[in-house]
Amino acid sequence: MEPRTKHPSRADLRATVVSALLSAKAGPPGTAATVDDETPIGGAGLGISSLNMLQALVRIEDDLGVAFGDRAVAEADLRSVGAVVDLVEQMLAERDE
Amino acid sequence: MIHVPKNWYNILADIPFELPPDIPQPVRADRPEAVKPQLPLALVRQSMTRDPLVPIPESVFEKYLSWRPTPLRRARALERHLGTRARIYYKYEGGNASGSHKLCTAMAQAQCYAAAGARRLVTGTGAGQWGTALAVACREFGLACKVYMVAKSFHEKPYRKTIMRLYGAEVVPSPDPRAGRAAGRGEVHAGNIAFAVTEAFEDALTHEGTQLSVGSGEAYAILHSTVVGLEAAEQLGPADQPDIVIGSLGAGSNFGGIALPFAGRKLRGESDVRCVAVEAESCPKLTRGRYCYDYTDGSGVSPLQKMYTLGSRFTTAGGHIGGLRYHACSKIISALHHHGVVEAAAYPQPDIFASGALFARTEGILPAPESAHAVHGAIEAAKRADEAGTAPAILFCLSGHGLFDLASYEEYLNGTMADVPVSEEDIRRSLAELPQLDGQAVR
Repeated sequence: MEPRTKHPSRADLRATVVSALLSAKAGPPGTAATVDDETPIGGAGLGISSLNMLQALVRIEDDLGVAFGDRAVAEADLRSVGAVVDLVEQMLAERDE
Repeated sequence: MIHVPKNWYNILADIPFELPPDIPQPVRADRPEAVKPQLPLALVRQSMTRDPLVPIPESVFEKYLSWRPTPLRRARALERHLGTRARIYYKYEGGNASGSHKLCTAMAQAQCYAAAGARRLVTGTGAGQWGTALAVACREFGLACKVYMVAKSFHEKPYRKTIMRLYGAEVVPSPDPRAGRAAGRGEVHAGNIAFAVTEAFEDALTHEGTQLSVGSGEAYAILHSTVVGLEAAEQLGPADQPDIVIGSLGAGSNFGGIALPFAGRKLRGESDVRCVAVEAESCPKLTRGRYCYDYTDGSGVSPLQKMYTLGSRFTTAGGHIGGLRYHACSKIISALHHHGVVEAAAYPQPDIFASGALFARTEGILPAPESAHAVHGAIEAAKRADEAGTAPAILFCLSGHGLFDLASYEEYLNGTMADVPVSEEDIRRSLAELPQLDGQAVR
């Protein structure tokens, strides 16, 4: 198996994150096309609960071959889609160090 | 040589249907704050995987070795007393520090929370088996522990409180009339598990480094408990696998722990085993509840799960049913019942205790009231088999000892134990408070 060294672009990562967030959220499917880095995770944004968030992170782990640490997730200020993408980029960088 | 399993069994790998998705509570539009995780990722991974075998972490496996494998015995004296042709086996889970099967998931959860950085765990407990198990596990993994114990049990079972404190836990009654949600509402009642969990959750939200741990209905708690059934299958060997598997039903870990490895075989077409959940007549969620969306605790803000429920505000009229007092059944067990994979039965309290006492006199172990439900289910199954002229192998989980429950057995011996049936009106009134979307109960 080839080592994963090439990072996806930020746009691709955002698409992966948004897809995971929306699929973890029960109820009507969201409209991923309208989501950008500033879109709030909870509240008036995607309306994601803390459990939905964790389920989405596990889906992202499967998709990208990364493993999130609980402490890193707890310390991240996961207010917006961009914050989740930042966390994923951090995990990818740590994976490939 | 019987081996302690290195993996838990995950029935999600074998069910041929999708579980109904949870419905999160609407997130308030005026609350833009960050989403804070309340659960270790390891437990989320264990709940989501479709792998049939989930590896047991090495540090948890090492803890398991301190009391596992647990004994599997044939109840020959009970069989002789009944004059039955059935072969009755029981898996005894009461021989560990906590006295019940609950230690299987308590150890696994404490390890996950400690690894995730928690310093303190809080929980709600009914009769105290779960609270005791979590106290033991927290001590093993260096965590502080606070237990909100259903008030009725807190006052009736003082020595259960003592043993939790002995293992280092702080124990308070729920509802605590001096603090928390109950004080805000001015509520004073006997309490129930949903309410105790709610008070514990409020504690977790307001204390840094504290997280809520729950012991039964969650998918991971049932997963962790499957070591019971996996061990039993190996101990019985290929020559005498059970025709009927019986467990007591609270929220699901007791029944699921013994039954799901066998239910998996049924789903894979490898056996025709019957799996029977025995619940309390005074808390009959599978036999008389409704299969619909409901809250998992009494807060009114938890996600909605589709399950057999009596309503999250349901309070049992009384009786000695301990951990079977939960208002609903886990969504996995509920779905298996809905699809006809597992069966359910409920029996009156005096009959349950008569069977518990008979088991103590014949086999020499006093069952916890919860476990006595499984004992009674096994005796009933043996009687039905004799009437039908069959001789099945019956396996049940003797999930815990009843040495903290002597007050209830005293009541039984004195002839003052009453039946505590639930009226249709009680159930109807409780179900009328089910959560609604657009003015309708959520089916």
